[in-house]
Amino acid sequence: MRLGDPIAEYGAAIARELRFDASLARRVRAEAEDHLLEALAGSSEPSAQEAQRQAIRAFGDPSELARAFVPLALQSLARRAAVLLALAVIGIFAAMVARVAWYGWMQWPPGEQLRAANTIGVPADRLAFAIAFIFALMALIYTMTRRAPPRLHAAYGHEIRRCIAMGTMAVLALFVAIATETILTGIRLVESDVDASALVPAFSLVAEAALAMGSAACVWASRRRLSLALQLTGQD
Amino acid sequence: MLKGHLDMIVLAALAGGPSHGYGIIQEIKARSRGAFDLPEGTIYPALHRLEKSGLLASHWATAESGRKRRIYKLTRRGQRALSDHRALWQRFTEAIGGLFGEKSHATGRSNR
Repeated sequence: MRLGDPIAEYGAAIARELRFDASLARRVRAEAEDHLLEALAGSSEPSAQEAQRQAIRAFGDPSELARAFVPLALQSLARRAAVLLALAVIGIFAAMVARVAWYGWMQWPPGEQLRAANTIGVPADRLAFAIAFIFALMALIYTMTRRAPPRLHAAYGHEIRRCIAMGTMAVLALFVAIATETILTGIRLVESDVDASALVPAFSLVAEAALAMGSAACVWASRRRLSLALQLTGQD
Repeated sequence: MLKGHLDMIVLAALAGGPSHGYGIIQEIKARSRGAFDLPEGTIYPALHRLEKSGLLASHWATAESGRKRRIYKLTRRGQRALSDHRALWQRFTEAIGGLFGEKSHATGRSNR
């Protein structure tokens, strides 16, 4: 920021208010600065300082401007999180299917201990994954069917919170499913002679964990950004 | 009144061709003969909203001054939406005009 430059300071103030969405902040700041410099160039005011003041006054209050962006930004935020979560769930399912197919292809039957563990582990894994799938699907449908209002109202803030809550539930269920699969895979590996073929299940578990961590990071970031945006509107 | 019609006003201002935010504001002021003197920043949330709805498209361009600027233009959907708005507005103004005309006519008759 150029110190003592009111337009640059104003642009920085807009970016600060829009800190809940960095790319939006960059874009709006660039547009606002261009707008103000263009207004300055077209001004007939002899004093440059007065012309800057007038241009800034005509543009409006940065907080008011940022508040007007909140509904649209929250919609994008929720939709992005819901789509990424749905893709992660699909990816985790593909990794699970690939691992089971690998066991079949390698003719790798479960041992004594694994058969015992499977009686609880497999239903628990399936239930957890089904819960994750249902919540991720609900979050996706919920966000895609909600329209952003022109101005933020309390009900829309609650809708976005609900969507983030569904995403959180889906991520928690994913972690339970992956933890169960890790235990079952661990028992399988301990019971058999570990060789290079064990790399495939190990790799699939790492891929699942990475996708679940990525989803958790995305949902966490969305919660934080939602909170920042709602602080701006006094709804937090 | 302006808030409810801002999207239509922006679409109408872009009917003449692509423009940037400041240009759109100037167009609105000129064509409304200064009647719509809204805080200039309020146009940007509307522009972003219309772009998200697919009624506008935008891209970065470099101005003669060398500054980066965002240029907005109507999409085909935007042109259709503007035509719909225009037709609706025409019907509305005709209806209101008729209503006012009828009223003054009726008033004239009752005064006789």
